[in-house]
Amino acid sequence: MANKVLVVDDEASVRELFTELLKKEDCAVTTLSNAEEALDLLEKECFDAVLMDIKLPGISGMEALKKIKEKRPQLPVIMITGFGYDEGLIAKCKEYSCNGYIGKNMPISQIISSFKMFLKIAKDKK
Amino acid sequence: MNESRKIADKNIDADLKDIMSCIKEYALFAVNLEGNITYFGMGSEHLFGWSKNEIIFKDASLLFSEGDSGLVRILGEVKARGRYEAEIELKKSNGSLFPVDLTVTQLKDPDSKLTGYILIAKDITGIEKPGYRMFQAEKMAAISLLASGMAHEINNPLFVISGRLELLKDEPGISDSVRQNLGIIYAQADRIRNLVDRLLKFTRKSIPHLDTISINEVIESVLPLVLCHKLPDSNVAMEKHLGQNLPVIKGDFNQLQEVFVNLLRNAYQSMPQGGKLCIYTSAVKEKFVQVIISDTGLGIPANSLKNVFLPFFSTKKDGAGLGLSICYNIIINHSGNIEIESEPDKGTTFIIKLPFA
Repeated sequence: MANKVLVVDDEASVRELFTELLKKEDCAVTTLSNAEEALDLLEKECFDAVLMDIKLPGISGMEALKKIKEKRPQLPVIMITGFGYDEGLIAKCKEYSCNGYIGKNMPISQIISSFKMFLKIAKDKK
Repeated sequence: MNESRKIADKNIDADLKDIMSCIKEYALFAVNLEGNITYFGMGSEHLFGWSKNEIIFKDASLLFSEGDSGLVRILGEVKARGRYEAEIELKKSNGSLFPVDLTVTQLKDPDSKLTGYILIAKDITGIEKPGYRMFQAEKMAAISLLASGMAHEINNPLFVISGRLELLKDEPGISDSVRQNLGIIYAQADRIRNLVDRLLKFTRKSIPHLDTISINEVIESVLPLVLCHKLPDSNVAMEKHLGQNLPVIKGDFNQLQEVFVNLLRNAYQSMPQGGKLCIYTSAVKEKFVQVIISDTGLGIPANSLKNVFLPFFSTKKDGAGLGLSICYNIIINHSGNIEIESEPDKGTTFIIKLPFA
């Protein structure tokens, strides 16, 4: 069965690209441009995973991660960022129990395979 | 040179000695080629606490905190490069250390033959330069913030470009020439990605994984890495003076390796015609381990010197200008300090201080 993935990123071109890339991986993708709408939607709809940009206008991706995990610790949340591999950010994401961290600077094939791997690990844990 | 000129010069020298001997704020002294004191002015007596009669013709290493190796290193540099200027510590007759701004120049006879060295030390006890250091730190922090923001903004469109190329690659019916062009675009995007990665590396507050380590071990470990980059026919002589029984420091072995690989590689690259590379380690002020890396290479012009630690600033034709800025960040993250002294065509010296564990 297709994984339902919620992609949250403030850039339309990034959302569109993730939609196409993840569709190829047999995912059903919903996209949103901010964390407020994502938190609202998660109250109403179930997803298999959230792919969340860290730098978002309004509520940041990091704050959203914290709020999601407080309510739904089982929901896999994978953080994505243009800041690349940053030990400080990674430590913060871990503190808030994220399920994966992906730098947008990684090669595309690696981004997708990392996403799939983090999702599998999170699902196996359930 | 004719005899009357020699006599006139000798008279001027005598007058100058009289004048200099009256200045109390500066210690002026001279040593011969063997490092023995041949002149010790009144200011020297005042600052060091030695009387002229006690110390004349004695080994000047008595005045240096690092003992013999400190004096040998400094005189070696002056012999090779003509001049030495640094903030160091000297030793009083009672054994206590005090900070000075030291300038050492060559002393030559009328036929320009090196006969010894003149040393001028200004006591800077209680004089700090926090304003300049703070300005440098603030400047680096501002640049770091700007670079990090830029890297983030570049990564987003770059991610979209690379992703779209990846999707296009799998489209059916693409001609060979289009595929070839896509490959070129992909390779160029990859090049930007690598550059942004390096920029992020500079800005990143990489958490040092601190262990108790020996600085000499770090240096010994990088030498094989650096030597394999050395051109086979390059005529660079390396001298190592690693202080014995140095206190350990708290440091990230890998990060410090990166610093010394960068500095030593730069030193080799600055001496395409050959030269001398010196590495010294010592303990200073009973607080820091000091590493000095000096070369007799091309040097850096004075107007560029203040910018060498800034990202994207390079005096090399093909340099990305990130190596030294990464070194700077690593040393600062270790609560240390890195300084540079350089003179065109004479060489460059890096002075790194890292606190004891």
